[in-house]
Amino acid sequence: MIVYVNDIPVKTYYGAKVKSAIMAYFRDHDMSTKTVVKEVRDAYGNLIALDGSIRSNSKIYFKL
Amino acid sequence: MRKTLLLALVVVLGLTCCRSKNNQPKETKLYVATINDMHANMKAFPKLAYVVDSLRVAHPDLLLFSAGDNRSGNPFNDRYPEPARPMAELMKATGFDLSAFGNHEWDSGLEALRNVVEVSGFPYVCANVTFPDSVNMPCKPYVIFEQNGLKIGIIGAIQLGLNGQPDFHPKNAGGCTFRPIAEVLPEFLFLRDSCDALFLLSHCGFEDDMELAEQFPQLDAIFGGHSHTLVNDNTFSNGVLVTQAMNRIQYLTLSTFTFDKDKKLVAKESYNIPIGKVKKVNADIQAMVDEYNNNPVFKEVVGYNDGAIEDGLESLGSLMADADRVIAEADLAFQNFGGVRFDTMSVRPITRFDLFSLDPFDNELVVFNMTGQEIVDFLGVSFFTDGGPNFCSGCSYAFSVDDNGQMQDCKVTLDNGKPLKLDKTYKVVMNSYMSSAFKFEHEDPGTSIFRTSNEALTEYLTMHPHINYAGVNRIHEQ
Repeated sequence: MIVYVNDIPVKTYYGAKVKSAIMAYFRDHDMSTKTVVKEVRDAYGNLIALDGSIRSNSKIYFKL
Repeated sequence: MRKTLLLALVVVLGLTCCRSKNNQPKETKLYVATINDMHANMKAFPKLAYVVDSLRVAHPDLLLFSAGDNRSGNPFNDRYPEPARPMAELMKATGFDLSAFGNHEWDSGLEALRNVVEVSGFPYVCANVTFPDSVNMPCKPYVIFEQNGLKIGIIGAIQLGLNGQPDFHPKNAGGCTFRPIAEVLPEFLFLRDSCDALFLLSHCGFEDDMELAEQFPQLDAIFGGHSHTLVNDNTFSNGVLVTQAMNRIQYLTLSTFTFDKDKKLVAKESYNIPIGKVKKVNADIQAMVDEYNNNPVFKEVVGYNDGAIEDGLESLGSLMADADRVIAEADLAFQNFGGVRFDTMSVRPITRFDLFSLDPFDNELVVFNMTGQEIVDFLGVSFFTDGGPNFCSGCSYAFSVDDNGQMQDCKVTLDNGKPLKLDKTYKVVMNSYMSSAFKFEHEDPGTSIFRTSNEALTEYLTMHPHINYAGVNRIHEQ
């Protein structure tokens, strides 16, 4: 499925968690998987946990 | 600081009923505390219980709900001889009034779930599931509470994934059938006429909850879970209050509903209380948690290692890959180098605790349909991504390494001795870390089977209690 990380479409598997989507973003941008993420928010500005569930077309935003 | 907060809460919440001069209530307040996705984080439970106790000092009629996924995330709960009984007992002792079912409530199957519901001593609600008659599950689509002269209706809901089932392993469905909650809800809106407030206790995720609120303004509030969202205080969609308290008992949401003398709901608000910063605990609940964490069952032997493994990351990596492949019923499995935490294991019994040490990650298993060519490319691209080659099951492979450290001439041989066919599609399983972090081309985006690699390892050892992986060699660098 496609989810949007910092407004960039990312391909991930069905049933993926927030952290899976961010890992996929790191992968696509040749970033280290050990990169520390400070916080992740959804499209409404709510904080979300890394192990939260996402669905197709979810939008998440992380800060380093 | 915390004392001040709790004192303030006590004072504010103490004003449950405001009375007019003739002693008739001008308004009535209803307080509902909600939590979700506790995932058996038992160490935080004594603090949660302390906060709930404090709130109840101010308002003895406080309602306490969970929006589901009470379990799954702590082996001391999930692998208890009666799976998830500790959390059910803790919730009962803390005085929970109601819970929704989360997708993880199914993780140990229907019999275990029924046992949890019976132990809990409070009702569970879910309007969009039908259990098989043979299970006799004590679950209702909705419940009605009568508090302070108010009639409160609460409907339960659970999310459904693309396959029309919640996010659990399909084998755990146990004959349950599910319908989308948006289809089911209209059947229960008659409650609007007979109740002073109507709530949805939802394990559907925040985005779905916002859409449900748009579609069903007849609801007064949706208390949510599943997406592990810390929904900002006082979030509304189409006039419906929507809440969620992140996960793992980090927060508790307190919602306040104000009714006028005619029992008309005139105000509603929500406030997230941080549990982690609370210093005090409920001592009785702490004693229960200590007892669960000292459970001798985790010293129980679940298997035997019959062959000494020395300097053997590949041996243990192969064991983990075998477990994944068998449990996922896949043709091939791959395990990343960095995901193996032991490189030795003497000839000795293996305890449950050993398994958690060998695979402490909470990675779920993801299945892909991959062509032989995609598999070969995957092995090449991911080579050394994780500090070493991927361990494998269902096959072995040989390769050379060029001057730039790249894998060359990778040849995969299946367990039946035949070479991997590049144009044939195989069912491949790997963990969610590899699925996300490794850069490889794959037409199939993959599908989680909603079981962790640790669960697979435990189940595999139950099936094969005697293992001997000494000297296993499936990867050949030429």
